[in-house]
Amino acid sequence: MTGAIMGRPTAEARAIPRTPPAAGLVDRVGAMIRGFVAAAEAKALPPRHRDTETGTSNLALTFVVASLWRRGNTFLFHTRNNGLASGLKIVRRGCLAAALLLLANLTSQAVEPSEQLKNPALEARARTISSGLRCLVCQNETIDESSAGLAHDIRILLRERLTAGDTDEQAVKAIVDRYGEFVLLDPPVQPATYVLWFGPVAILLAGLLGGMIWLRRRSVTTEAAVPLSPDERSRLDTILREADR
Amino acid sequence: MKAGLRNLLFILPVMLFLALAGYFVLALRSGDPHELPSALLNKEAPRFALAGLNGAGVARDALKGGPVLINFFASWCVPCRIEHPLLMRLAEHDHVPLYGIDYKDQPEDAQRLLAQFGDPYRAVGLDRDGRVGLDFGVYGVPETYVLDSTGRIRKRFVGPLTAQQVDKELLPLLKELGRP
Repeated sequence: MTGAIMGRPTAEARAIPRTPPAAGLVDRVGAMIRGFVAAAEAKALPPRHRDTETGTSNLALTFVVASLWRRGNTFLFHTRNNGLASGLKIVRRGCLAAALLLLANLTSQAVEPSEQLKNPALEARARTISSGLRCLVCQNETIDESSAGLAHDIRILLRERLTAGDTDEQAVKAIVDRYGEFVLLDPPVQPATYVLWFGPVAILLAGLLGGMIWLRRRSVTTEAAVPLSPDERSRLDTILREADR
Repeated sequence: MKAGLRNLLFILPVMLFLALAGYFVLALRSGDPHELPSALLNKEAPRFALAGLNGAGVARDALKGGPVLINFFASWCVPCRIEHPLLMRLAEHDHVPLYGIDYKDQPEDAQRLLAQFGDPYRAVGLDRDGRVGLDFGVYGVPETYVLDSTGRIRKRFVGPLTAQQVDKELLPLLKELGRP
């Protein structure tokens, strides 16, 4: 029975690297490197198609900035001795590029206008909660930052729950019930995570305690020096008196 | 004896460090961090009732009574095509009733896919907005869930099923769940 299913091993399945979605250029390069590393390790990664929507607008802005930057550079090389005017031009272009870059950063949040709630208080709560929730597709991004389709779905779910009158805890629980505690970027304080939360403090305290004991022991040995005998004291007095003269 | 104890005290931090480093190495190598266990493991599957792609729909309460497989797939999903021949073989051998949920997809595209490569599913439910997927905790397709006769989720396979997973995990589990 079991043998019947056993067919050729899906070698092609193993050769295709996982394709994590990328929100920006840096992510893309990172994803590429990860792909190479995975291939190099010949690790059997089952590929999955992930439901992704890359941050196109963000990418477009980056390209605009990059092209301006490049043009600025050509100016710099061709007009180096052409005087102040072109120099100012370069500075102006530089400023523009910097401003665009800043703008790109400011607008790089993934929350789409259509997702946002009309009630600003509710929306603010949603934003706070979602910045603590992990996107499971791009695992080190919050759902607030991620442009993956799944992050969008979870943002919508979260807002629905809040609109329906859930408390923050209830809304978070609805998501944890579906995706597990892994979605929480801050692991909850519970017996299984005591070592994680209190381990560093415990080690620090143990170190301080050990250091204190060590120091005290050392000072105790110096304090416990034998007092001078009367004979030694009189000799010391003579030496000191001679030194005074 | 006392000197030995003192030496041990000095070696202790090094030993602790090595133990910790060893644990980290093991944890780093213990498989793919993208393969998460289902949060709903051994819990009742979320209630759903989806319209069918070709006639009959798929609803949770109608699936109770025997172990079943629920496979989330989509026509736009490339890895789904990798596991497709395996699903076809599972269906041919009638190991377990296999139901499909077409995730965030256009019905026409899914129909074309199944017409072209074969239809291993008893029925396919249409989850156009991905809500049922969200309730199941699906975070990418394909994902395959094993439900027991009471409708509890007993196992989730993340990514395309492999022949190895079927032999080593799925078939033994089905046997345990009372499927010959």
